[in-house]
Amino acid sequence: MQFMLLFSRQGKLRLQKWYVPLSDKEKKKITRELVQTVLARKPKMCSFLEWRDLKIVYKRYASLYFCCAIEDQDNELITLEIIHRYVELLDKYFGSVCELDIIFNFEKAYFILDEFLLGGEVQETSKKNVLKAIEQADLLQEFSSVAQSCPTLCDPMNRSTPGLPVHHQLLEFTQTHVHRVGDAIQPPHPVVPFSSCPQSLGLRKRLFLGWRKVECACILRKRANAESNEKQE
Amino acid sequence: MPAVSKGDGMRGLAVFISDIRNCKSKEAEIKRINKELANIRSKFKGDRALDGYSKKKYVCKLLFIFLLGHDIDFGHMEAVNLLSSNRYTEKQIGYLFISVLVNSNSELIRLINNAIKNDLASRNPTFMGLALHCIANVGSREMAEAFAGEIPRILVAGDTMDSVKQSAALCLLRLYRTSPDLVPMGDWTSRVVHLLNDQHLGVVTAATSLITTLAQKNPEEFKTSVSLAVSRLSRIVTSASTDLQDYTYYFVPAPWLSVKLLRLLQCYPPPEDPAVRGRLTECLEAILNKAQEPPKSKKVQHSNAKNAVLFEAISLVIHHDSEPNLLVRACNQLGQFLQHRETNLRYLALESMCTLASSEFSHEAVKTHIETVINALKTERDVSVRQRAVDLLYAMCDRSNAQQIVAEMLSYLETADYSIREEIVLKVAILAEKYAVDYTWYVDTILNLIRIAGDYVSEEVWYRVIQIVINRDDVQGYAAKTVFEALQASACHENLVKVGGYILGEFGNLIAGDPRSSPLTQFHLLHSKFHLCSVPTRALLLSTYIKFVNLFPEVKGTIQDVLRSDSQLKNADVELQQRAVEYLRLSTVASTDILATVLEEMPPFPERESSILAKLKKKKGPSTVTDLEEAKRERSADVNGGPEPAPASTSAVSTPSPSADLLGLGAAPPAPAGPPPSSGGLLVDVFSDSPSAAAPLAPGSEDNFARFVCKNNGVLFENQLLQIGLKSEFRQNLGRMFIFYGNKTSTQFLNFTPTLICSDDLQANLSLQTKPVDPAVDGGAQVQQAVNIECVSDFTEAPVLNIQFRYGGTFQNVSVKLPITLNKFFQPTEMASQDFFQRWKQLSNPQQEVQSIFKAKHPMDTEVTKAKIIGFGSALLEEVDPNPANFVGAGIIHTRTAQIGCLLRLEPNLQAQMYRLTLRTSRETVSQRLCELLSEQF
Repeated sequence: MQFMLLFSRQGKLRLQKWYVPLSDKEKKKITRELVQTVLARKPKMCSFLEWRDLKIVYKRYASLYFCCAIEDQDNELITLEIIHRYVELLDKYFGSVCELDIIFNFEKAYFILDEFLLGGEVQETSKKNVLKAIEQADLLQEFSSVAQSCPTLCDPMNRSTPGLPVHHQLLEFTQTHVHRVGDAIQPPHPVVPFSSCPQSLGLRKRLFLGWRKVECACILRKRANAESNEKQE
Repeated sequence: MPAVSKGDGMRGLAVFISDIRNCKSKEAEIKRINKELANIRSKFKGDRALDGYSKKKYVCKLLFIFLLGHDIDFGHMEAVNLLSSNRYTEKQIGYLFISVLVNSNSELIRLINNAIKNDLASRNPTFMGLALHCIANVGSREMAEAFAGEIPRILVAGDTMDSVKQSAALCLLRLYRTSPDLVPMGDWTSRVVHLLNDQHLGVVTAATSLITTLAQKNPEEFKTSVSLAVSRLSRIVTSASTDLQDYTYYFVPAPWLSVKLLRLLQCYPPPEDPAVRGRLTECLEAILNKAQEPPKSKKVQHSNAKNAVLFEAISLVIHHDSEPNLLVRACNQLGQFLQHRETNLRYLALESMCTLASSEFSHEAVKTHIETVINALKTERDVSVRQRAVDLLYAMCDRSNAQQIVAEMLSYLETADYSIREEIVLKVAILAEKYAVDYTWYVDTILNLIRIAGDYVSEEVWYRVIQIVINRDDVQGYAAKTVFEALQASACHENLVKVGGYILGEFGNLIAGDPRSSPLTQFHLLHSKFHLCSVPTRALLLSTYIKFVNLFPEVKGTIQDVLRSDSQLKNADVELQQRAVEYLRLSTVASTDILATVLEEMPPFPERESSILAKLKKKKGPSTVTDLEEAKRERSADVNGGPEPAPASTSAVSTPSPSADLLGLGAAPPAPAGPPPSSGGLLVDVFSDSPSAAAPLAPGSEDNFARFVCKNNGVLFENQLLQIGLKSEFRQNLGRMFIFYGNKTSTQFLNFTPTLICSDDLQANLSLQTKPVDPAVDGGAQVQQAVNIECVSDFTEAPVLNIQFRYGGTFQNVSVKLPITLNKFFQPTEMASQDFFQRWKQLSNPQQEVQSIFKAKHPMDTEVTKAKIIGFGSALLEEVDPNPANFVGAGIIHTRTAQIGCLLRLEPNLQAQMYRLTLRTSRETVSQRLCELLSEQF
């Protein structure tokens, strides 16, 4: 693989990984060209295209496009599944990953990618092993962060305010399917008024819906409805 | 699992990111970023040492800013410091920053390598992992030099952890890709091959990638990997879907590893050992069998992973090209995919079948799918899939189906996407020629091609049809009749006029017997198109007319009248005018015999490779077409061989010498040896290469340019013909430059025209005035030209001096950058230490400072450096910097609109052979430009 790009539907680059040496100028040019090309394609079109002397493999997850450039003899379908495995890894790590997770924790997205792909080749395909490596690193981090005078546990992406886990999941679900940027989803962190930002529509959409999660969200919604009915009564 | 904050977040970073996201405009974003940059810069420069956490946070912010697409020119040192932190989290951010940004600041590579070395030696697997990731991400030559010897040792050491082995394998792979010469083969290679037997599938996966790449270049060294790969593959293929635990992906056992093993096997011919070969065949059969089994899951991931392995297996079967049974099975399997509902599979099936079509065993099997492929061409909604269908039709075409395929392609061409039309045109032209049994069909096809997609018919295509008609007697009459009929259309493409003009000029006599196409009718028909055509086509038609004079004496008068008309004889275009004059004269003075000799029918073209084929290869890149083409060429007798559109003449018109000169005009230095004026290719070539275009910059021009930054006089350019010298002086915002042009030959230069070229930007900021020089420069003489210069405002680019002249018969074109640089308008300012530092502090705004760290290109001699700073134009201030090794300078840049104070400081580091240059001026662009100019000097 020569490079991997993640960009949003608005064409904003969220992650770039280059496995061949290129100048910054060339990288910007390639990015611009590819983002344009891929965004112009219609949903039903095939996931592969020829571009210069490379093959582009891309797939869209919610509001994000994952786009890989591979060489002539590389396998397109397995590249498509590299993308999927990476999304699974992100999803498992962040828990229902959405674009915002990748924006605010971009460094984590890079770390996970490095454990999975190295030098443009798959390093470790086992989801367990990759996550184990990352979690070990996180343990090391937590250990050192306790020692620090400035514990910053208040991550703006942390919507799991203690005591309200049900609420969190439910809202996420509503957001995913109704496309309503409700004021109710204002995150607990005050400095990040997502709703005031028009671009945020769809940003919190989960990239990846495992059936378990859908099912889970359905149950939670029913439960929440039941609760509110009780209250009304 | 809800989104939990993993590890320690960085609150400041999160606040900054959300600030950026809340910016309503690009300007607001830039403002916020500049504020942050200023803050970080002051933090990094502050007296108080930063703790690791803050350093990490700021480095991370810089990284975020860079990833937003802004340039980052500091912080590298701080990131490098983080590498040697004992805290994992700080080290990790340091490495990330280096991996992303190091290309632009490779001066620090030595420090980085040191940190990596320490981590590799630490025996701590997590730290080793980070260090290896960094090497794999950067992969520079310096890193290869430092680590290419060490990594193989880590890779094969018995006590290395599995995860480190994986990283080491891929790290080595990356280094091998960038600098293969630095990775020594040794006894480690045999141990790497044995990693294919490793218990840990992750290690096998990484090792297979490495071995595949190494085996491509050193097949002998890695030959033993074949049998190991086959047995590994066989174990995977026969395993139950649960055997491999987490390496099973959506019920497919180890798909990534399987694909990689199959890829490795494609580096080698079929195994010689019958046992290994039998086992491999079993594997491939098993993979093909699995494709027929009902899917274990409805998920697309399941089918993708399964088919990824299948396609790779088919690639291997095609690569071996030795098992007819497997080839046919593969073809049938792909045939099923051609009608699959997944667009991706249809695309890949078309692509894969293209290579199958070139195998003699499966060619016939591929052909049975022709209807499906034609249907795909008509119904696929995605242009990239249709493109694949066109490729496949092209690949499966042979004498038996050529007529059908060409007809389908032609009809598709009417609605085809513009992006692929030219390629289809080329393909149709090639197929029509290659499989033409009957040349009337060929002529019809090409004329249709011009009618349908005239704009996409390149010159090669119409040259080719003319070559073929001229080389084959049996088709000439038909061709003349057909073009005559085609020209009757009220609107016809210019390419058709070219073909028609040429063919009627040669073979119009073959149809002249028919009263409907009498000589006069032919002439009037062609001449009715004349005024709508471009100059090259008109020139061609004039040649046709003179040929008519020879073929049909009865129309001589009419043609002479046309040639004699003012619109020809006094045509503004010199080529047309000349042809009219010459042809008119020829038709009046020459006897019939002479005319018949001079205007004889064209001789057959020599047989050469088709130029269209060459063009298609060029378009598609050599790797994709060549093999296929060659394979096909061997199978089908090359009917015609293909002459190129050689600049052979229609009419061997005896040409007076000025005309030869005229044609030589466009063709730079070596004028083609005695080319008579002719129709077709030559003309087009001559005129496309217009002499007014400025030449690209002369080689070495940049170096010469840099030499003039610190001096005003010297030789700017020299070649065998011409020397350009400069003498210049500058005062405040004004300057005067004398340019000396020396003719080093003994021949006179004619039409000698030097021109100063400034971009619009530059023109606004720099005013240049000059007088033209005498257009003739005698041999051995020197002429001078004065240029008056005024700096209106600060500028970055440099004007280009373009010189055009004629030397002997050839046209010369030279461009050099003229060294008028911003620092020429420097006035040195002396000041005391106290003043200097006061001003230095006043210019502390981050935009006002520009810094550059760079490697010394010349020996670091103090006196030379001093001379260069003075030559640069600023004052050299002694005893200002507390460190006597540093250099400090001050001056004022004068422009018409403003005076800009500049302070500079140069800190040499003898040990590292590096410099750090800092410029502070009141204007960002000035700081930037001066820093660029000066940093090139040391």
